[in-house]
This record gives sequence, C-alpha cells and structure tokens, in this order.
Amino acid sequence: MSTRLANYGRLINRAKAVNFTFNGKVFNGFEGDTLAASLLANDQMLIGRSFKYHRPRGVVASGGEEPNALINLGVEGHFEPNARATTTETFNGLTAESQNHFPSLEFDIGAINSKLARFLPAGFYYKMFIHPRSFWKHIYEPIIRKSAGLGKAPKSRDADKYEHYYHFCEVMIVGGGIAGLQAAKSAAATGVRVLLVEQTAHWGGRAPVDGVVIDGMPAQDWITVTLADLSVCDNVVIRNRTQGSGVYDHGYALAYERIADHTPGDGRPRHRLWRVRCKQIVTATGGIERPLSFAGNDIPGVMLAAAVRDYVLNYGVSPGDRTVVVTNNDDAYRTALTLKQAGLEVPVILDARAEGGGDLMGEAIAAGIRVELGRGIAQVLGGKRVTGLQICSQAGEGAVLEEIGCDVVAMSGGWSPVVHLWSHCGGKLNWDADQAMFRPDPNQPPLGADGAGFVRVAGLANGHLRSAAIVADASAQGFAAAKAAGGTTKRVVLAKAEDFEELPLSPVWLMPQGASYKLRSKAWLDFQNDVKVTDVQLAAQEGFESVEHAKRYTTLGMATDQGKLSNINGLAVLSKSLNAEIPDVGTTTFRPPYTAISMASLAGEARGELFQPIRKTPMHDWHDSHSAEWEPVGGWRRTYAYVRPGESVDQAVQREVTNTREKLGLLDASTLGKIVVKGPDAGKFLDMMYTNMMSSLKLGRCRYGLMCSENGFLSDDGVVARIGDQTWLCHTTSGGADRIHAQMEEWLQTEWWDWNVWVVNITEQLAQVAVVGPNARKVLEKLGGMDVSADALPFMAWADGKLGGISGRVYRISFSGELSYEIAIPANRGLEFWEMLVEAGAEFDAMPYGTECLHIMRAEKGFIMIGDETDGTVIPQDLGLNWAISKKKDDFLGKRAQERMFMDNPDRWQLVGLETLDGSVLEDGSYAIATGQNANGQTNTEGRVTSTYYSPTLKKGIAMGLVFHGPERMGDVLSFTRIGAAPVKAKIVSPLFYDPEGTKSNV
Amino acid sequence: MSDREFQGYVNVKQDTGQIMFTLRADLSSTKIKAAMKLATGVAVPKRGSCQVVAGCALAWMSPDELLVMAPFAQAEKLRASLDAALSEQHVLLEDVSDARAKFILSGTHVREVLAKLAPMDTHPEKLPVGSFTRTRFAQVAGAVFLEQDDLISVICFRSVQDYVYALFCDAASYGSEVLVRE
Repeated sequence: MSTRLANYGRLINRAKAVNFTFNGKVFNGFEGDTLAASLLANDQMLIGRSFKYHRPRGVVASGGEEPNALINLGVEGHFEPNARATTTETFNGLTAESQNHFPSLEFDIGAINSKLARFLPAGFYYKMFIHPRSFWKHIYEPIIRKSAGLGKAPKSRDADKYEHYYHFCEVMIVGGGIAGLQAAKSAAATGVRVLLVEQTAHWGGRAPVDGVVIDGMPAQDWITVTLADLSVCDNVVIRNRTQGSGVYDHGYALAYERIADHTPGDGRPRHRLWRVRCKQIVTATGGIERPLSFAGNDIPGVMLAAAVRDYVLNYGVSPGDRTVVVTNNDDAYRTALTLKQAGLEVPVILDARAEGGGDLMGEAIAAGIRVELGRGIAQVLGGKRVTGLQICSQAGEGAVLEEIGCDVVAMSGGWSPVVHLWSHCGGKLNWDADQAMFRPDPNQPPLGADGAGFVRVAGLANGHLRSAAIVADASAQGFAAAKAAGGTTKRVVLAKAEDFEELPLSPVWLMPQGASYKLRSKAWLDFQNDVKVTDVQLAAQEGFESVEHAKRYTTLGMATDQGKLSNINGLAVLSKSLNAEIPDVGTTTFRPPYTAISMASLAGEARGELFQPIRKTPMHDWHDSHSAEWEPVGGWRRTYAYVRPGESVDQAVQREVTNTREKLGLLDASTLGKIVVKGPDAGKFLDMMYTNMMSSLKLGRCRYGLMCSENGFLSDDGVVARIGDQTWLCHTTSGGADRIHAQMEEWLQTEWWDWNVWVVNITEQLAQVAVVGPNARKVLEKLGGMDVSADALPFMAWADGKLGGISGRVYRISFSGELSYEIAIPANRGLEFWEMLVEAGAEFDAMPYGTECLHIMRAEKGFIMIGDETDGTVIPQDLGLNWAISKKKDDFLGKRAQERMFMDNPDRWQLVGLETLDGSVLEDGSYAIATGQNANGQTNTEGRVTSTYYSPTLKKGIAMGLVFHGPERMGDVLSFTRIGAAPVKAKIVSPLFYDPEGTKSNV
Repeated sequence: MSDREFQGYVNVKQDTGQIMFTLRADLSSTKIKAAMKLATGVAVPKRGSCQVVAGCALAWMSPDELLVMAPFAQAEKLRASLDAALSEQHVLLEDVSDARAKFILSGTHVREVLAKLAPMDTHPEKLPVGSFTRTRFAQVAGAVFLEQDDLISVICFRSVQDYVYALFCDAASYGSEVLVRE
C-alpha cells in the first residue's frame, strides 16, 4: 500500500494539515502536497478509468506529463473537469471526484470494453460505424457520445475572475529549474530585462531530488541563494506557478499564471494570462521520463522511476512497500537508492542492459540491492493494483524466469527533452541516437522577423543529461540570448555542478524485445486513450505510414496529455514496424499550449458586462428606462421599438408608425455618422467620393448622396451639407461611419496625398434627434429660439440656431416622407434636449420611435436601405438611382467599374415595389420563381425580395425587390417562394407606396 | 458623463472638466508651429508626447493631428485664439469635447493596471512621464497620457465610456495586484 512516511517531504509543511474529499470520502493531506501526493498518502492509488476500455488508472508521474490521474475538481462555479492531480495543489476544502466510470470507480460497467479489447482495435470505430449511413446519426453517435469522454462538462457559470497582463522584456526564460535559474542569472548580468517563469510552486526543478551539487553547495542551497540574487535585480521579474505555455511569431509568448487555484475564493483572480513580447526566449523546460512498454505497464502501481523518488523526497509519501525498479539507464538507480534509504524494500533492479550501469549501479550493489542485468518484465500481475511481476530476459520472447511479489514498479525508459516550446514556432529537431532522444537542432531555430533565431534551449531540454553540462549550457544560452537581445556586459556568469558519472542508456522500445502478440497487446503506449503497441503496429500494417496519420488512426497522443509520455515510444514502435529509422518517421507537430490552460484565461476580462463593448448614445439610459427593445447596429445599441405594457413588439412598431405619420415622432439618430471634410480641394475630393456632384452644393443646403466602392458597388448613402466655403459635413449610415472615415483617409493618404483636404470624424461629438410628423414644426416652434418655418428653412436646407436654449444645427431632411427636422446638438446636452422635446411634444402627441418604425416609413416611401437593398453586389443603377449619378463629372469612385458590360446591362435585376395579391407580407429574401431549371437542376429565379414589411399606413404587406426587367413589367404577377408553404403571388408596382408626389414632407 | 470614482489598488476617476479640440494640420510646418505656440502658449510636442503649460495641453496624435486639451473655463478664449491664429492656414479644428471621455488613474501601480488592458510596454524607461500614446483598452481604441509616475489619464470615445470605466475598475480591483515591480 502507499502511505505517508515519517520522514522526508521537503515541499510539505507537516505543521499544516488540510482536509479534502475524494469521491465524498474525507482525506488528510499537508500544505505543499499535490493532490496526487495526498491521495497516495491515503493509499488511494486507483484514481480514474481510461477513455476507451475503462481500465483502472493510477498515478504514473509527478508533473504536467501525467496522463492518468485526472479528476473532476471543485463544485458548481468552481468546477473543472480533467484536472491533473499531479499539478493540483492540495488545499483545505478541496473536493475531487474520479472520472469516466459508472456506477463507481471500484466497480465500473464500462470496464467490459477491456474484456472486448481484442474486438476493439485501432480504427475499430472508423470501420464499424461507417455502414449503414443512417445508423450513424440515430444509433451509433448517441451511444458513443454517452460512453466517450472523461470529465463532466461544467454546468454552472464560472464564478472566478480572470485577467490578462501585457509584459515586455528582452529575454524570457521558461522553466525555473537549475538551468532556468542559471540562464536567468547569466542574462540578467548583461542588464537586459529578464522574465523567468516556472510552472510549479517551487524553484529548482528536480536537482534537489537528484542530489546535485552546484558551486560546492547542495542544490537546494544554491537555488535559495540564486533566487535571492535574482529577486533583488531591478531588471528581473520572476514568477512561479506560471507556465510558459506557447511561443508564437515575433517574440510573442503566452504564460499562464495559476494565481489562486490553491486558494479559491480569496478574492484574487484565478488565472492570469501573460501576453509577453520579448526579443529572445530561452526554454529551460527540462525533460520527461519515458515509460517502458511491457505487458501490464498500465496497472495502477506502475510508475515512472523519477516520480517514485519525487513522492518520497518531496512529499514524504511512499507509493508502496516493495518496489521493483526496471530501467535501461543509470538514472533509475537513484530511485532504488532513495527507497532503500527510506527503509523501503527494493527486491530487485531489472536493468535491460546486459552490461549494466556505472557508479550508481555500484552504489546500489553496495547498498545490498539485487541487480539483474539483461532482464526485463514479461508481465505485471494485478488488476486494480500491482501485486507482482514476472521477470524475463530482455533479449527473449518473454519466457518467465522468476515471479516476484511487489506493489510498485518504477520504470524508466530514458529521458526525452521537453522540446515543445522550441517547436511551437518552427524549431527543428535532431535525433540523437546515442542518447535515444530528439533534441533541438541549433542550426534550425524558430526565426524572427530579422531571419535570425529567437528561441534558444538550455539544459536538459537541449539534450544535456548531466548537471555539469546543464549548468554550463544554461550560462551560455542565457548569455547568448541576452547579447542577441541587446545586452552589453561581456561577463559570462558561470557555475559548476557535479553529480554521479553515468553510462549511456540502451534504447528499449519493447520489453522483452521479442514479446509475443499476447504480451504486446497488453503493453500500453498511451495510457489515457488506451493505445497499445499492437494498435500502432496494426496502423503501420494497414498503411498508415505517416506519423500524423498513424496518430489519428490510433488516437495515440490525442488525449488531454497530448502524448507527453507516449509520443516517442509510439514513434519508435511505428518506425520499427515500418522498418525505418526514427528520424525518418519524424514527430507529430507540437502545438501550444504546453498543457491545457483554462478557456477563461484566454477570455480574460471579456465576460459579463465586459464581454463586448456596447456603444451608447447620450440618450441610451432614457431609452433603457422606457422599455426599449434593443437592436445592435454598428456596435451601438439602438431602440428597435418602445414596447408599452400589454403590447407585443409588433404592435409597438405599428403604433409608432401610425403616430409618427399622423402626429409626431421622435427618433434618436445620434448614431448617424458625421464626418467633416475641409480644405481647398474638399469639393473635388467629395466629387470623387460620391457618385453625384457635391462641389456645386450651395452653402446652407443639403444633398442626398451615394458612395460606391472602386468596383462600382453601392457602399453607403447619406445627406451631405455644405457648412462653409471650404467645408462639408457628410452624414453616413450608422454602421458605416468608421468604415467611410477610414476610406476617406485611405484615399487621401495613399492616392490623393497632394490634395489639401482634412477629415475629422465627429460622429460622437453630436447627439441628433429626428423630429418627424405633421406636428414637427409646432413642437420646435414651442421650444422657440429660431425660425423653422418653410420659408426660413425650406426642404433640404439647414440652419444654425438655438432651440429651447440649446445651440444646434437644424436640417430640413426627411427619410419618412413626413415633415421632418433633424437637429444636431452637442452630445453632452443630448439627453436634456431629448427630454425637452418629449415634454414639449406631449401636447402634440409626441412618441419616441425606434429603428423598425424608421425602416417601415422608409420602405413606404421606396427609400432604399444600405444593407437591405444593397449586399455588396448591387450598383446604384440597379436601384433606379441613376438620378444620383452625375453625368457631368469626369470621374468618381466606381464610375469605371459601372461602365463594364456586365454592370451597364439591362438584364441586371432592377428595383421595384411588390404587393401580394392577398395583402400578406412576403418572406424576407424570398425568390421569384421563373420557368425551367438551371444546369444544376435548380428552379430558375427572376428576382428576390430585399425588404418586406407590414405597412400599418396602407394596411397591407409591402415589399421592395430586385426583379429581372422589373421596371418594364409593372402590373405583372410573380410567384414568390415561402419556406415550408406554397408560393405566394405578388404584383410588381412602383416602390413609392406612400405619398408619391412628396407633398407631405414639403410643407 | 458623470464624476464617478472607484477606489481599488489604483483609483479610477472620471474627469469631465476638460475641453478637447482635434486639430488636423501639417505639424512639420513652421507656420503651424508658430500659430499653435501663439494661440496656446504651448510648443507643438514631439512624437509620442504631450506638452502642458498652464493647464493647456497639446498632445501628438499623428504627424498631422494634435489633440488640444484645456480646462472648461478656458474654452471660449482658447477657441477664439486658435481660430484667430490659424485663420490663414489650411487646417481643420473641431470641438470634440463631447465625443470623448477621460479617466484619471492614480496610485503607485498605475502602470501595472494599464498593462492589464493595453498592449503597451509601460516600463518607466519606455513610457516616461510626459508620454502620450494611442493604443487600445481591451476591445476599444484609446489614448494614454503619463502625467506623473503615479497619475495617468486615459481617453476614450464617449459611446464606450461605461465599458472603459468598468474595464479599469475591474483591472484595479483589490486582490488582482500583479506587483511585477514592487
């Protein structure tokens, strides 16, 4: 059984006990524990079930590479699935549940899959569920969905706070082991700004566990001194619990700080995403120990050798009483020595190398540990827990030489450098056959904008296994990075490290090397996704030769751990099956983030009221308190309709239309774009921007204008006012203001840079109110201050003045067909002016109206709407707007394009009005049905509806649409499609449905 | 616009007492420089900075745009003197006082709160006192003026002032200190 030892535990505080629950049972742990350590201390070796076969799963590692010990963590708003017990710090009140089992962890019905394993090989799902087609949706998918998955999906809204932080430095160093610390020291000495991040709560990595001595000090002392030195440097920022997660182009990197995962509810943000911009990155990310592939290597109790000594020395936890160490290298002997020293049994060390190891082996023999050379494991015995194992010759096929009882197997297949961050942005790898590892190729680094590498790798991550080389490499890489980033000092900070001499490993990709099918089919590569040696061999046999294909076919490395333990072993098995060299098969792609990071940290502050900025007019709060139904327009919120108690939204819209037509309506038009254009060449410029003539506009007058893209398509419309000798004010659509402003700047900066024109977007400086209806003049006269009579202010004129004591500009323009004024006042007085109008208008039956009423009134008058009648494929000529296209001008944006034969073409669909014969409302976007079919067997069409409404004024459905030869076919009846219903007949009419003579607006 | 205020580990306060003008003009022109100095008493600032004399500030927005800021009390006089000084020049001067909102951040950690929302290098050597920069705050455009080491004004469009105020209150809330430089 696993238990807490009386001694050891350099990372825990035995004075501070904490309580937590696992599957409802209360357990004890100590401050400083990881959850995995706490669970092992309570003899909870079984932690979850695997993905496919629901096999029992226990802790295998001690860090972020852990594939097995995944849990549902927390409750409700703090719930998180697939949390790694090995990277979760234990705290008082923590609640954890095991995953992927039914009904319980100990007894799981899904485990039947394991018995059926030989019927569920790689590719099973692809082969099985493809026929018959219809079964997928209704039978296979629902069942697979139910059986798949590990953790539960969260159901509650995330209760925590998250944020971003932009950080700039010259050198970022990822990894706070001895290599990272030394690299930081070396870089910092040059005076550049250094950021050093470490993903765990502790500095120094595994050097203290492995008994390294640096500069004559035990590693821990050196770490303490180095940290103290770094923390007083003004140019160094050091951050633990912060993982360097991703490296991107141009020296951009993401670091993921887990601030309050271990102190939930303390008011701090849970995670902070550091968005780092640096010149150079040094990844000192260490290495990951590889498992060995032998039968039963997935049974709880089989662990990585280094993890076993981590639990003993870091947390004072013994994973078991009797541990067999199985290895192909010297490093695993450290585990045997540690266990022996802790008073635990090590019945045997199985060294797959016939010649054995170096000094460490000598130490083990001297300590009285039995060492067997050239031996391996034929099979591990046990179900939910290791009970023993069978020893065999590594060179053979698995004949059992001896059976031995044990409860832990500590395995080591050698170390793989963590090259992920080097690879994220394109760094290439070399295969080092002597050390059996992929290591960074210094000649092919990720390249920055200047064509030079911007990532360096230091220490074990760079393929150095011994402390002396690690520290020396770190000094050099830290210094080189700092120099490349502009550091000036020439002094290189050096350190000397020492540890045991080691002999090289002997690669072992299968144990025993000639293992039978039966053994191979129990030798796991990917513990989480249940991919075995035989699965990868089957993939190769079936022709999946590319490593990327084999990965997807078998799902090797596709689990939440992204194959940190399985990739190299799987690759080696694949290459052997293909009879190719490992470097020729290559690796799969390493993509950020290094381990899963929270989605919420990526969102940062952008949630709740900060999810998206909402642009508000000066009268926004008034609308809100008058039951506005909102509509998003160009980032703004505009009132769709003001819904009164007892009304539907439709009824409100109709009331607003009728009231505005008969009495008085008020519209908040503040969102309208307002762009001032000034200069000696302003008239010439506007003549280019608009299709019609703006230079000839007289002072004090307004003109409706159209703007096209250079391809001739209608892009925006609005009223232009001449407000000075050299000054015009251009109104744009609400959604078009920023776009049109940018377009004007673009032409002025890139094409007509020598024209003397200035442009300023003053959209938000002004509030604008449309006062519309037969009573419009009366209410303005009541406010008083200026002459708004038809003589003083005729249609399409404007005047400056005061209304109700507020200075503004009054435009006599109308988009509704009624007598109408638009009044622009400074935004800060917008609400005051609005309220004044509402109050003064009461006796004239004033009602505010929203955008839908505006749209209906426009449509009743046949006025086009940008975005309804236009969709980026429509030119003004399609809309009968030829009158607004100047024939006198030499040029304007779009003119050339409109002369092309498919633009200047009578067969283009043209704007008409449409009325159903039965008075119903046509469906928006519906098509007019023509005779015959096209080449694809689709029914031919001859028109489409662009906007359609119920007109409360005319008491029937009205619509506008684009129809083939439309204007020549007045009175023709067309059939229009309806979704899920028979087509409806509609007659082609003039789009001027209401007051075609325009007498109502011109009074 | 209101005079709202939030006290977190940095104080966030709206400042409604400023007028602002946008000036579009060729800032390399000696005539423009002289006219601006005459009208405001302030020299046209260098790129990335803001000059302040007696409450009147000129901020560099682009090679052909200045932001003129002053207390409300100076509004009419300033406008008149600007109009007079620039009357012969090809310029466009627009009142944008109502189009903008301004917030003052104050406290030791102002740079840090700014760095949570704006993708800027806020290190004192890279962003010294007197700096004026256009940037973004999370999802909206804005500008930053480093008035003092512990006092920053941020300017945004009026329509998104509620969003920007909420952003800075959130970033300045107690408990979220980053304390990169203590």
